[in-house]
Amino acid sequence: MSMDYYNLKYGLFADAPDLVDTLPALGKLKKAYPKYIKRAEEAQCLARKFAREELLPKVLEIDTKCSKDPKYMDWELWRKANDARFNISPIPKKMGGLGWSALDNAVLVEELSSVCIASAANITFNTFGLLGALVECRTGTVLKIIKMMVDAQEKGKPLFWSWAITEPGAGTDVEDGEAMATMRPSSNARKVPGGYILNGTKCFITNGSIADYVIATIPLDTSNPRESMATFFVSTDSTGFSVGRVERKCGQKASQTAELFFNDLFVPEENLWEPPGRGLRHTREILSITRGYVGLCGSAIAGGALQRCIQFANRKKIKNHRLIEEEWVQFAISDMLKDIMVVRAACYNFALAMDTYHVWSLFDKIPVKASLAVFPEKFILGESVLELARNRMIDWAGNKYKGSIVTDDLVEKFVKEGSALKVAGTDLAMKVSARVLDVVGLEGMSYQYGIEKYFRDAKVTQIYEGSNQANRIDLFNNTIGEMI
Amino acid sequence: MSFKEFNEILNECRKFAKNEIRDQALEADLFPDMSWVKGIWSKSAQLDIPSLLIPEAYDGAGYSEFCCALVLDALASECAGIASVFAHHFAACIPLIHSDMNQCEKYIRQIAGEGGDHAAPASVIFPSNMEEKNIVLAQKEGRLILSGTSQLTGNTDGAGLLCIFAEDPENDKELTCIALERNTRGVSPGEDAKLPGLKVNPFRRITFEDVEIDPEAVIGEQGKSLKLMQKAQAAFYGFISAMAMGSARTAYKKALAYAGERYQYGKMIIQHQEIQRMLGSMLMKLGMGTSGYTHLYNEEKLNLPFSSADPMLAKAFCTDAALEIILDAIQIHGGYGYMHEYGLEKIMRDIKVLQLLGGSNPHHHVRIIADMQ
Repeated sequence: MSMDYYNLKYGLFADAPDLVDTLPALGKLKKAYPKYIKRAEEAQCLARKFAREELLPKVLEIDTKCSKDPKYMDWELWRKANDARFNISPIPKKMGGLGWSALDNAVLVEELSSVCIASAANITFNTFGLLGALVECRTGTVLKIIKMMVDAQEKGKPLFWSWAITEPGAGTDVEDGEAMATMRPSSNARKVPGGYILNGTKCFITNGSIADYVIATIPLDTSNPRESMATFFVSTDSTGFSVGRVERKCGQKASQTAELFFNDLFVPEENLWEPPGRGLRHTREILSITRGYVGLCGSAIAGGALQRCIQFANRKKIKNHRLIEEEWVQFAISDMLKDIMVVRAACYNFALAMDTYHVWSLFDKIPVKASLAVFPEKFILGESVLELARNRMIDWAGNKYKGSIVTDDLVEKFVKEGSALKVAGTDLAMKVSARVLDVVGLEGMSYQYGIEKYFRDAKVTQIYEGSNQANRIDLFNNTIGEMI
Repeated sequence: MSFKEFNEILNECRKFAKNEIRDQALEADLFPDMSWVKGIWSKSAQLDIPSLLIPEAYDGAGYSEFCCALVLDALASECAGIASVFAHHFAACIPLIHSDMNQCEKYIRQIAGEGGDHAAPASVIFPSNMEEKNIVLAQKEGRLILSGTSQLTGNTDGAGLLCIFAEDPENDKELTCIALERNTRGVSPGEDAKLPGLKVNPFRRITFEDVEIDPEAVIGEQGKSLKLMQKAQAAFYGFISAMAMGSARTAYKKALAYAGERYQYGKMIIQHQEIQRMLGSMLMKLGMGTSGYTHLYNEEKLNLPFSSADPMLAKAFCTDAALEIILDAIQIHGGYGYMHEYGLEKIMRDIKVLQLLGGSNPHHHVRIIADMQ
């Protein structure tokens, strides 16, 4: 549809920023921390402009091309996102990133996902590398990863990270302790002098086919997966790494999903990110961050679908009035608005908590603040600092310090919060994307309106990042389970 | 006809669907191919499926609407797209067989495929109360002129004959049923709407540019075809219900089988109560939906209020239930359910289109009460 079609100034087409307007509780924060909210508003302006002007006009074209060829990737769009530095947004400004908080990133994820969650994934899931490194928080590793990301961004060179957990016989099992203890892993690692040898298959890996590096959780002892699960940092140009087929999916086609093979792949000791037995903890920490955001993605899919539905109903003429004037349509829209408002607010609440307590709170801590303030801009990622960071003492101190902030209890608390939001957001995405089609009818379901795409995209959000059933188990276990 | 006879037909159709449709349905969904659809149509003539509703006196099989619904259920369990081609065709046959046979003998014989050639399927165009304008039939200087654009209609690509319900320009309650060759001058199909499901059956709007209608092509009495349209529409709703249940049945079977293979948390997922609940709920919807739509054809009515179903509401119930069933079936399959090659996501897309065929379900709920007033 041409942009003129969308004649209601609502949602994506409303003037940004409307963050505080649509989430009034932020008003209090705006008074107390004006800079914090101001930056989120700026992020919203940038993200909405990008979503509306760069993403929206191309969404269906990309979806069509990916239907024909699942390996198609729109690099032009990716370059524009790279120029805007959306793919390295959480990295501190002084190091070359945007220095965006968890809240700012929530805004980015929401605006992009409300147009196309698959393209949003290509752009924003790139922070996986950084998140993976931050979990262990060995200063040397973190700075090395940041440097790689910043250098690649500057050169306009794609740098993709994948997170390889799911196996053909085990998806949810790899994300939960009790389940992991009983799983039958198809991959395994073996200790050899100087490193490890990896073998096995991972499946449904987002960006697996274009990744430069893969963070893989693999057990050393397949009969004791929980006790021996380790996390490896794997370069995809290693001998023994290969990509299987890229899946043909129902939706989210712009985001490639691939099968990965490890065949006697050697990983040097230094690329063991989490030692045997700590792999589960690594996964849990990443989940404690990502699940809440997937919930927000779900709420954004619902929001985007509803926006398109409203625009359609406002245009569509029936007899002597418009579709949107029908009372049953107004009630349906209102009902969906209500659900989205509630879930969205809860997801933003999660982002705020992320800034307050989780890894992002590191940026507010004196040692990190002081280091960022002390070093001049170019020096901070210079070789000598990297050398310093590789120092074992500093590495150890970084790890311990971060561990004192992001404790095991905190991780499980956020898994609990995130699981609830993940289920709420993605179930809502499915419900709303199906229901808006009932409103717009057969014509509104035509490909050109882009509304049916939300319906196709939504279903898998209930499945990935731990199926919604697994998330419910997590929620119960972390809330009531320990008491009974 | 006895149940035994119905069951025999059903078995034959299941065999036919399994042998002729199953293996190619997924490929055809990705790359829709009209010649594949035509091939199935021709082969189905060996089982008399195209002429199922046509009376024996006109070389048809002379079966009932109920039989058509069961056949559609069986076909849809392999591919709802193919089934929907037949459903449009059957719905188009309804006005012909409920009118004065002598009057429309020409068209009935055409559909029955007399003369060896397996006639192309027919399609039916209903007016819609969700459009700004419908097709009108006007009297101009003693001639009948058909003009306007249809709502999105299926099975128009392969259709030889269109059965059209046109409104009177002055009074939209006065409908006229017209049988028209699809390749008549002035009849032009619009763009394929590219709906997410029923891919082998493209939906288009058909535009009629001042097409002159032969008075003999008017089925029934001019301006008096409201009842005929309601009959055809009711039949169509029954057919959609059957297709939804057929598709959902396959979804349930696949989910049940997969739940017995896959391990999670140390046991087969079918041993988890949540999965049992999901499967049980699917079974309930499947059972109620199937008995609901088959009950539409039950001629013996019980003297109990609300004991007989309304076709439009049966369609709403069956398609809503089918969507819930397939969403859970995919959920049970996890990531595999979302991948094309497992065939489940296709069923989801197909069912979503079935759900909106003939109007959307919340709107049906409103209409059924509004029409009572």
